[in-house]
Formats: sequence, C-alpha cells, structure tokens
Amino acid sequence: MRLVASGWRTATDERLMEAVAAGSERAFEELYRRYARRLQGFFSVRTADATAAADFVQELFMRLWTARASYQAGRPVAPWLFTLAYNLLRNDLRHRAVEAAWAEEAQHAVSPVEDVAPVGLDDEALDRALARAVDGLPEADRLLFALRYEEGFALSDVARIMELPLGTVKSRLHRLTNVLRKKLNGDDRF
Amino acid sequence: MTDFEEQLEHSARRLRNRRNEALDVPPCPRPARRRSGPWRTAVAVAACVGVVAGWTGRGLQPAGGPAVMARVDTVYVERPAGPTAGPDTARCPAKPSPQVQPRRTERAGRSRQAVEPSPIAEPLPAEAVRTLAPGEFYAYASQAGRNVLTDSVDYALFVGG
Repeated sequence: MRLVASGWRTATDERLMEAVAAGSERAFEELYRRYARRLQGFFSVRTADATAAADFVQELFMRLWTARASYQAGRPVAPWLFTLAYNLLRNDLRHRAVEAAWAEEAQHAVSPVEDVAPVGLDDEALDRALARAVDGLPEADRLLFALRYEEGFALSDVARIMELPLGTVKSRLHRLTNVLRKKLNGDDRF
Repeated sequence: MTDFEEQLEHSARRLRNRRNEALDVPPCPRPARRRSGPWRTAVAVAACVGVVAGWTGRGLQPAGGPAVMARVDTVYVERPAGPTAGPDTARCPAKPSPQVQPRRTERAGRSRQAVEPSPIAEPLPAEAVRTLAPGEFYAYASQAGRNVLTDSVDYALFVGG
C-alpha cells in the first residue's frame, strides 16, 4: 500500500525502511528527519569534530540508500542504523584509538558487584556531574555509554552493533556503571 | 535495569537532547536524483538543442542538398552555370505563403536577388573616348576585324566632329 507524503510521519521505522528498500525517496527523507540528528550527535561525540560528524551522517545515509535492497523486512531499524554508524567509525582511522582502548581494557579484571543505589542529586546537578564523568572515560566506555544510555538500545542490540559477545557487553557495562556511580558520589579515585 | 541505571539513562537522554539540539544538521542527501541526474540532464539538454535547432533551421536548404528537402512553399532556384543574355527565365514566381512569416519572405527575396542581371556598367568618361577623324574610319574598322562593305554599319555615324 502506498502512503501519501503526510502518512510517512506516522509510519513505523520498519515500514519506512521497507519503503526505502522499494525506492521511496519520501520515506528516505522521513527516515533522515528522524535519525540524522541523533546520529550526528553520536558521531560528533566520537569524532569531536562537528564537520566530520555531519559528513559521517551524509555518508551513512548514502550507504543506506545504496544498500537499501539488503534490508530484511521487519528488522529493527535503529540498531541497524547504529551498526552502520559504528562500522563507519571503525573503518575510520580515528577508530584505531578506540580499538587500542578496548585492547587495553581487556587486560583489566571486572570489578565485583557493588551497591547501585541512586545518586542523591537533582536532575540539573546530576546532568552536570554525569557530563563531566563521561568526558573523563575512555572512548570505548563513552561509546558503550552512548549506545546503552543515550540511545537506549537493549544489551543484545549493543552487542550486535559493536560485534561483541553479549556476556562481554554485560560485564563491561557493569564495570562502567560502577565507575560512574563512584564518580557521581564524589569518589575521585575513578 | 536498576534505579541507578534509570537515573543514568534519564540524565544521558537529557544531555544527548541538549547536545543534539545545538547541531546544525545538513539537508537530506538525494542519492537517487544524484545517480540519475546526469542522464536526465543530458536527455533534456539534447531535447532542447534539437528543438532549438529545428526551429531556427526549419526549411533551410543545405548547400547542395537534394531538392526533395525543400518545403512545398520554398522557391528553389537553379542558377545557370554559363553566361546568359536577357532576363532570367528560370526563376519561378514566388508563391505567396498562406502563413506570412518574415523568414520565408526574406528567403524568397534572397532567391530573387540571386538571379537579377548584373548592373549596367557606368559609361566611360568623354576624354577616354577616342574620336575618329573623317577618312580614318575605314582603316579603324579594318583593324577591328570589320568589313565596312558587308557589315551594314554606317561608320560615318561614329566620326566625331
């Protein structure tokens, strides 16, 4: 069934992507409207370069259009887009630093389970403290934080995007939340 | 997800939204149009060139072209190769076109001009004309290959006074 232009606004991401796969430019534009800003934010943090982030977004959507026929109907679109985004980053020279960070962190043992009580800060104070805490993390942790907490992906999606075993993602995320909790509670050792 | 993780997620979303709102997002790329654009442009340009060339050159006969290419209301004039005397009898009268168009009128004018006889030469100045004295015309006529006895010309008329 063909949707009129205004109907794309209410279509699901998956329906949009099916239309894109069939060659609909309207659906493509709507998908871009929904995800371009999110992806550009994702890229801008990873690259620390606004221009490069915008270029990455353009490149990603061009690739999406080129590979639209390979989309499997019903597959969740958001994780797929972020998989493309992560692959773009990984293929970029800048991502070598991320790989090095992952390799370094793989040497560290996972910290034991700790109490995860909420931090006693209001929203504004929490946001400021969290921004500072995340800025001080290695790139690999910032990427994990972005996918899990900023973009809200399920652990399985994060594992798929980063091409890591689910257990590895769980353990690293557990360690990351412990580090953040301690930082937010004013423990400067982390 | 624990309470702390929920706190993290809410805070992270707020940070992300604030950061992304400040971004200058470029317009959506148009890969489909970009891919087929050159073809469409080439076809459109070729079509325009064809239309313009056809409009400006309609009815024009290429040099040496076959007569069958002439339009029905085009006057086709064949110029004689050798020198001719008298008025041009090969020219057909221009048939007035039912649709009056300046270009056709101009073309017919060019055709007519092409078969007009050459303009009459200016007369020589008086000092350049030699005047024969009486008694000289027989010798002058002989030098010119004339026979004053048989060519029925009264040479006395050419003798000046």
